[in-house]
Amino acid sequence: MSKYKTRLVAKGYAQTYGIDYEETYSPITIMTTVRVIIAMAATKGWYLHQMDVKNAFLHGDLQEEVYMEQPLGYVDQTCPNLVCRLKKALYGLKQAPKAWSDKIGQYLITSGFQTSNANFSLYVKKADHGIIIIVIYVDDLIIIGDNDEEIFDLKKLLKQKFEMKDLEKLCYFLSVEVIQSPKGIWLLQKQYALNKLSEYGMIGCKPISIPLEQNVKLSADEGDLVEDTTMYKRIVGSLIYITIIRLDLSYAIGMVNQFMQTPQKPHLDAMRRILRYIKHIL
Amino acid sequence: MDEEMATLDANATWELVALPKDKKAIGCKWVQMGAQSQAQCKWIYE
Repeated sequence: MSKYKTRLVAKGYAQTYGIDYEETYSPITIMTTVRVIIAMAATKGWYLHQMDVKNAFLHGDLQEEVYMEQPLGYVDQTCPNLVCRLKKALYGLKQAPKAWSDKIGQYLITSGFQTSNANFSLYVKKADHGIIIIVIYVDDLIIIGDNDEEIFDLKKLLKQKFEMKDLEKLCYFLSVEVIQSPKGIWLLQKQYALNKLSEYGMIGCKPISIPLEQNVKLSADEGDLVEDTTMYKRIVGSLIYITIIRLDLSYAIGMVNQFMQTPQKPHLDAMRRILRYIKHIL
Repeated sequence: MDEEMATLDANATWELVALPKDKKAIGCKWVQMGAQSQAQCKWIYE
């Protein structure tokens, strides 16, 4: 922990619907789309580019009239009674994510991209000499295409417009490590799994080579409830995230997932076993 | 903080106006967060 960011955050919870905010929905990429994009790049032998937007939400334009008090420590000495009439979005505002995704969406559409009908954060541009595909996850962009020159030009434009950082090669996206080589693309969640194991106190456990006990039948009434049901749910969530790469775990995780409502001892045991298996495959 | 303020200024995020009678102004605060794990390391001061 060496670097700190300081942000001015608006108290969005004080906003009132219909007065200073309207629509707040903003689309987001699902992992399936990302996987498809990576698979496409792998089969075509394309290179995955990544870009990152600095202060993404500050770019969004506000449609609504929002007033905010002057920030503490930076109050205008000559007129302390005035308030800030916001023109651009700020972190914390209810409509900030939408304002940002609209902004980048509009920009991409004016530069010739089309949104996919299946996923609104997937943009495709077909030109005479190539295709460019962009996936947007809030402020992270994955770009692929068959024409390196076009991608280079696009990156230059985006950098000018939105103050983006070009991370060039995609190597880390939503805690999935991506390794690109001429032989293919590898996806890893090793660091994520390790972090989760130590978070749940299972880093020192004994590895096991099978994720589920044989012929095990779990039912909803097996005895006393697990003490910390919230923790159980959290672990299930993390395990589901691991199925992005380890599809073979889907069945075992599906089993423990069924008892989220009333987790009991046998369910916890089954879950521990999955965690031990994860240590085995690391 | 100065850096963030400079970004906001450069961005023309807001203009100072007198608050219209029928409107309410929302508050704001400075939040400092670690670049690494943002969820766990959060200090808030008002």
